[in-house]
Amino acid sequence: MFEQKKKIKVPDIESEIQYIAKSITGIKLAAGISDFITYILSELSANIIEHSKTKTCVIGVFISPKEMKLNIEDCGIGIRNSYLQNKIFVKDDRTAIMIALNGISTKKLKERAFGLNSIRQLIEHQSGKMTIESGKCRVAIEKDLINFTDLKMPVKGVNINIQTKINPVNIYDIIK
Amino acid sequence: MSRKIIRISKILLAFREDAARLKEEAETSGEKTVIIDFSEVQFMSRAFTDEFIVVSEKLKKNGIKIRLFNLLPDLRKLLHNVNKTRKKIRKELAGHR
Repeated sequence: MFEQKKKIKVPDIESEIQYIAKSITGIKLAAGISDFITYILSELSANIIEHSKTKTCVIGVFISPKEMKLNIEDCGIGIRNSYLQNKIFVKDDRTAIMIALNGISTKKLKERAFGLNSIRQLIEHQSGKMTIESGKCRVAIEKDLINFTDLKMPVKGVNINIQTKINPVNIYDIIK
Repeated sequence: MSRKIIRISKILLAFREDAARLKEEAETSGEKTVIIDFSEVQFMSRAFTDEFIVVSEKLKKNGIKIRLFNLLPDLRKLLHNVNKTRKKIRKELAGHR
């Protein structure tokens, strides 16, 4: 079992992810799960470093023999502003989250960015749940259903929660 | 034939910066062949893999050949899949011009 929730400075994200990766390789888990968790943490951390313009973030990890929960949140500029600042006009927070999930990069229009897209594929494969909150929108993904909710209290930055059962998985058969 | 060997000491290559650092090290080596030793690497993120492909292409254009040593089979598969997807996207985008 592993449980940790910490507020960390962005320059320390890498050492934190390295620490978590080493810690979970020492836990007896179903085949492929440590890669699954490390992949998701790496991609979401990369998004914080590349897009959020925040100084700190919170990374929470809970792993038991039967389930895992991840929480990553930052107080940065949010998904919509990340597109707007790269001169990609996005109508609202809901649209911004959707195009991020579908792999549209903020970096260059001719590039694709598959971080959130690939995480979504992995979560769906594991029959897990993922919620993404940014600005005035909350998106909940479970199996192949996506639900949008308007938030009464807007979220500054991005808040992502993931919950899945611990089932064997080979992420390299899923990630394209 | 002289060459440069870059040994990666991390178990996790998570960020695009990691690929950028490899590019810098390859360029400053002054060698035309650079071997990257992945013996310690257990995990690569998609973000790193994508950037590594970009970096490798740039180095090749500048006359520097990259060889990968001891890359785990699953990580080689990831590299192959990401490269395949990049080529597919380029083809799609070229078709829309």
